Amino acid sequence: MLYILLSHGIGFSDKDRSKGQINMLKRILISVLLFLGGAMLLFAKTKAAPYYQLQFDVGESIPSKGEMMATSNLTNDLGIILQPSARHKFIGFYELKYAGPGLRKEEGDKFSDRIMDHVFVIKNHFDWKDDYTLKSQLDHMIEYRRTGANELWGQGLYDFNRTGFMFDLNRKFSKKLSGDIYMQYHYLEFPNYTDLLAEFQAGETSETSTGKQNHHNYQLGVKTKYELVNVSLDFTILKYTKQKVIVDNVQPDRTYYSGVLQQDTMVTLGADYTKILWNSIILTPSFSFKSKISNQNYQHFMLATDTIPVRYIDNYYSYNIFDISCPITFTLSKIWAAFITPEINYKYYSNRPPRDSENAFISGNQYNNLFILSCGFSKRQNDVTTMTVFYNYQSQVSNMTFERYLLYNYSGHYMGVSFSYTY
Amino acid sequence: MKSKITLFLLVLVLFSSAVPASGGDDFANSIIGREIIKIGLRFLDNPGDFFFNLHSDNEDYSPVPKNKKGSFRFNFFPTFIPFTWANLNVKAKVFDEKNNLPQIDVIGMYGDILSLRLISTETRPEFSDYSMGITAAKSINEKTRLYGGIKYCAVNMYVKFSTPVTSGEFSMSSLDFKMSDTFVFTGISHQPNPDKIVVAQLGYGFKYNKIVSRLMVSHKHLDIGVNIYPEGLFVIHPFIAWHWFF
Repeated sequence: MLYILLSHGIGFSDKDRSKGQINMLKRILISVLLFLGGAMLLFAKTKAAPYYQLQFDVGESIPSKGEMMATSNLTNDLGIILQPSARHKFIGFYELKYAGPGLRKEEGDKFSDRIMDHVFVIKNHFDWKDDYTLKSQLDHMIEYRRTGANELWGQGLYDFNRTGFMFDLNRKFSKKLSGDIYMQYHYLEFPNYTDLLAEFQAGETSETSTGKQNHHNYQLGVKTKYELVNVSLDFTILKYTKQKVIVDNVQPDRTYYSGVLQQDTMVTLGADYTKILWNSIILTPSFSFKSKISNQNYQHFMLATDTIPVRYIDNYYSYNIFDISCPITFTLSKIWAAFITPEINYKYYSNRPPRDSENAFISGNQYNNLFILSCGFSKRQNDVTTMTVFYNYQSQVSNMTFERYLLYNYSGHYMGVSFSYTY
Repeated sequence: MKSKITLFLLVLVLFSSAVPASGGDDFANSIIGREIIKIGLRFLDNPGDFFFNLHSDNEDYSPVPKNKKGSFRFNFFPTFIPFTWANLNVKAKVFDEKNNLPQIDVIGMYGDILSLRLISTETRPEFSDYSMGITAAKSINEKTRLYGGIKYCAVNMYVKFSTPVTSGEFSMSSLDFKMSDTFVFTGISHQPNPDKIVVAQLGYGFKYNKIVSRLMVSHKHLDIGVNIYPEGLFVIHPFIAWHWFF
């Protein structure tokens, strides 16, 4: 009945809405209802526990460049834990996340971006033997992105669907020491992405750019925990299905794309340590290092209408990132707590020269140095709700000074109130 | 008559204390003035969304309590006061929860803005808002239930003013929109004592990718809570409603 209702277009009367998007929305609706229905049928025979979380914050962002932005962020989780036997546990999970405009941490994201995520997860915990636990997971995610308030959801250039699975084998070596080895695979599809600049420059004979961001994501990692110390090492490979590597000379099809597909490799090393002082101060210093190596290169055009590049740079997208943070929580009473978190993030490109304000390359390699300070007070109002007043300061310094499209040198403040409900 | 229309529109724009005093350039250039102008322009950009959010304040799709057969609900704020938006939300239990089957409720809502009937222009103002849907609820334990469902909502308005209504930077000659959407929603209801139910709910509209979240404490006859519209003209809508379970 539900499918019939949707097939007849209730709620989808806009003619310009793409068929692909409608199918996507149907998948969301059907997945939610199947998930709820299946879970409800299992309740009678299986131990079950619900999990519900609503996290909401509202505040004001004040960047040093641009306008003030009133913003809100919302995360809503609905999960069900089912335990059909002592060794088996299933977790079904749906998350809807919305991030309004505000200060961003990732390079390439605009302050005016809005993001909406739908995440569906089914996990299984299987206590294989006394010392071994096998965790597995199936997941599907739909992300919508839009930059302006007047854009339509579902038509963003960088909207994507992600589908995949994960396996994690955990072994307890002793009461203090445990270790994991895990692997996961995901396929990311960007249904709306087109390389408009490439198509324009190559003319009508150019290949279609649809699907150029689609890629397979393979991940393999190990992690270990000794008392309150965690260390992890992670390898990730992104294999693009259509995006070809740019080269220095014109190819037979009149473009600069060679026959080699893009491939990115990332290695991430992370560690953190939790220290509790006088039963009232919790410190969790953490460190991570990420190195990305990409075979993709870059042709620089001064203007979008130019057809002849002014400079070729290989290894343009490879970089290293160092990140250090130290969250500190002060337990003031049973209901009051204070927190302060300084974080430093340093990104250094292997072979990308910075540009001056006129878009001309200068000597050296580009770096982005980001500092974030978060602090606030939280009050636990009852068993399920917590209210937090917070203030964030963010500052980025870079030798990249061409900022017509993206900001590289700025500071900003974000303050507001956060509310959470957790059952 | 124009004064009535002006009064009606001012109530819309002044919602949540956004008071655009009839100021000159000084007020318009002040921080508060600029913010009010920004809010006003956002309202003019999409008045339908604002009314759709108010319509959602009038709804209640949480399940009927186990020991009841249904309910009537009337939302006072922020719809009847200050917009004279009369409304009635009706719930009726169709199936009791039994074995593996959930409780099923049929729910409907209808509303009418009474002040629009006072406006007499060349074209008679039109307004309608309604919703209908189904909620399925299943107990997790004696006090807690998970629920979910689907609903269809519609809000239509057409008001043509004989002369444009202006107030400071604002100018409006008509209000004309038709908005409808199909939502799925999920939530949890927790009943710590017989006269109190705490509800958290999330709804998602497919046509406009609209998110609506609700936190509500339902007392013996009074509902108090907030609706959250992350992209709404006013992100948070506190609401107060009266209900009667039967």
